[in-house]
Amino acid sequence: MNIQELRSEAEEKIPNLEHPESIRTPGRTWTRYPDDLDKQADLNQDIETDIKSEGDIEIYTGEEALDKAGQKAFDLIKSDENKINAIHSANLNSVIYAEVTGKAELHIKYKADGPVSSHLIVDTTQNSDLTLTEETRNQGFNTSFTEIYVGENSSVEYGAVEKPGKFSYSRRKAITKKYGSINWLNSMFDGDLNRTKIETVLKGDNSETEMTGAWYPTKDQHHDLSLHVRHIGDNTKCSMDSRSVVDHKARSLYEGLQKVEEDAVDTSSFQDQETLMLSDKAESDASPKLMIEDPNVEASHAAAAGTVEEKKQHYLESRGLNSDKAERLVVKGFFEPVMREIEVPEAKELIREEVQKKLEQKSEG
Amino acid sequence: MSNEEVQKNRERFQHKTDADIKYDSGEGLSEETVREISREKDEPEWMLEKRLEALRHYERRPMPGWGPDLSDLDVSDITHFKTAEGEQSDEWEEVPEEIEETFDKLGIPDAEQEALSGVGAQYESEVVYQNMKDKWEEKGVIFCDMDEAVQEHEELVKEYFMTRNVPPQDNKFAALHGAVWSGGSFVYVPEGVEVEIPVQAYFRMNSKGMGQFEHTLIIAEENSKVHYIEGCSAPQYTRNNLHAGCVEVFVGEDAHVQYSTVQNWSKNTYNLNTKRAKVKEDGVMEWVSGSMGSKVTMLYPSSHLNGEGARANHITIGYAGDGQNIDTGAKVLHNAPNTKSTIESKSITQGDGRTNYRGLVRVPEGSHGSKVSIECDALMFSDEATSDTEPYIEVKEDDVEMAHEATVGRIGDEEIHYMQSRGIDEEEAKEMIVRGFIEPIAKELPLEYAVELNRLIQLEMEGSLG
Repeated sequence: MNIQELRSEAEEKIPNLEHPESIRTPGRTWTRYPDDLDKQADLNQDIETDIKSEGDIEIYTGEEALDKAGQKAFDLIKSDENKINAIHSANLNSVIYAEVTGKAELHIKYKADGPVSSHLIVDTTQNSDLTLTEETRNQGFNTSFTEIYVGENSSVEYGAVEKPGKFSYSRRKAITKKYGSINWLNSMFDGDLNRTKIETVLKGDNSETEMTGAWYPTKDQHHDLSLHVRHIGDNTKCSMDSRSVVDHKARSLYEGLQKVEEDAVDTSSFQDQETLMLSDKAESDASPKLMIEDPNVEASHAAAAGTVEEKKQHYLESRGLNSDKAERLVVKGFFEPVMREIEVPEAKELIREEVQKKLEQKSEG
Repeated sequence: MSNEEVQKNRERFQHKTDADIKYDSGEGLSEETVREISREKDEPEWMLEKRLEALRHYERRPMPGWGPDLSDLDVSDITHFKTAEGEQSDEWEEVPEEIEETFDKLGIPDAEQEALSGVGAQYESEVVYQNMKDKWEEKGVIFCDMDEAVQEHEELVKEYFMTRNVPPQDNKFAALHGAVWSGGSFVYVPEGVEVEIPVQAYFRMNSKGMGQFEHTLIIAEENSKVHYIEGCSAPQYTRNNLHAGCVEVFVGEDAHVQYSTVQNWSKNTYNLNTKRAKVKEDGVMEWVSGSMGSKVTMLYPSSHLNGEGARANHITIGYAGDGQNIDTGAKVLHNAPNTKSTIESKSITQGDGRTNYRGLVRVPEGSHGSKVSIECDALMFSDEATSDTEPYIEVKEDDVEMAHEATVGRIGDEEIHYMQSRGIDEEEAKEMIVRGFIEPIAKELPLEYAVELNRLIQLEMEGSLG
């Protein structure tokens, strides 16, 4: 299928599809989507794509990417999964396909003054080792989709820095073969409404995933992260660990789901999410869920929310820092424990920079 | 406990007597049925109006689109109102022999005849035996069945019954309950009074295809204290039963209410309840529930912490064996500053049973200094068992401490081997682990109930090793 066909097919489906699911509790819907998204997404706008790579990797873009990816494109993530997926497919302005056969690095930056709808497909053969980052900076509408096929005994370290304009929807999914590992570090720093859903399917025996989210909504921003894992193979492992800082009137939402399928023997699965609340107008909602079909499992999940601990603050103030500086230091340190887990230095540096920027905005505001 | 004893104990839950049914509203639900129920009870006009309004709401409302599958439940096929032959009695001796015998098999008199007093035992839908300590009456405590309260304490009932706590509009089954409710208990504890001995009630369903819709209303005035215990047991039938009870609790300033329940419904019962407490300043509400039996249980006791410094403790334990779906949880709304809640949920699953924790904790803006702690633990015994945890936490206030934790695990072969090597047989080893697991619940209950809870679990555990 070529891009034009894909686009027009998806466009037809838009009106008949529903928005992505959102948590509902009595009297509340956690995330509501604007009705005019298909108008916000503007077909055929050029974007600047900066691709840097090294090592055993082949990269294809545009028409060629779709052609080479073949069945792998829009297979993990279907173009008609929901309304936004269809809008994404109908407005694609970047398609990249990467084939990894050994040790490699790939760093992609998307930059635009208008909408970005980027789609990345990564296939790793056995015994490969990839470090991958995606960075999006744009105005207006953004969709960022990533499909990753993790080969046997391969490992992928993934880092994303999301700095979209108005609205952003990211959808990332990986599937593993045996002994494969995929580690995600996803950060969100902008977007009035930013929703990201990341999914790992641990299909191969002994495969593993680490899923880490870091987000920092301020002002009126609304950032929503979902992390899902499905344990299918035997002896699979998952560790989810996320942190958010929420300030002003912003809202932080988190949903984690650990699903252990019936035949998944010897699973271990852990989940934790912590929120640091800097303002009493801010909101933090969390739903760490656990669904177990097999009893031979070790699993736990946890979530916590709180303000900057007085003790920490007092300690720092007693060392001569004023309360504002002390708070900043606590915020900076807050993301570090989850970032330690994942080996994507490029993404970590960017995340630290973005945290710094947010803190500077704080003192301006 | 020897096998014989266990066998004997089991019989009591299979037991059914042929009590004559005094009134049968017939199967199905219509306005006429509701009018008949009200007429039979000689209710005031406003109560009939309330029932009819609830019925209208029930008809409009769709079935819940979440949670366990209720498609096998045919509400129109269930009889809504039953009463056993015999008038209300004050003396145990006057209770019909047949009913006494049923209680005997349930093991209730053991608990009741000895130290305990103040039993309002409900046989089918009506309280047949009431006894209350004189000293409570002197202090102004009211403990009677709900139907009597409508007649004798009309003003209180009118003010509190399904008005600002659980209105019939709350959910489909609350609406159904509002239309056909019958029996239940009314407890009123005046200001400053402490009821030291737990108030108790027992409910049974004993007739084929009947629904039970008892209503419990507890009003604890300022600075009072009461512990209410409810036990439920239903014998075995082949037809689906429905239990849609409703519990409303009002906790006054500085008051303390504990509501404990151990339920062992028949394996074909749908147990769909609405339980809610409104708590004022510095009041404390404690929910302790053990849910066993039933085909489907949906039970989420709820606490609205409306006054500053109010507290809620929720302790629940669910047990699901073959074919059972036990969906329990808690809902806590922190509507005032410095409110605290703890939720402790434990579940045991075996066979192809399914347990689920479903909880919502909401801390709106302005409820500063609030603390929330949620803990969920699940034990699974078999490969086919399922256990899910679905917590929802919404925090709109920065000055809050909130923590949620959950673990799921299987009783490991290693632990059992270890205990076997110490001369404990496998079955006993499992029992010991389970007993330790439910300890936090058992210790909240009076001895007789704790013993009964242990016995029930023991019965359920039997043969789980296969």
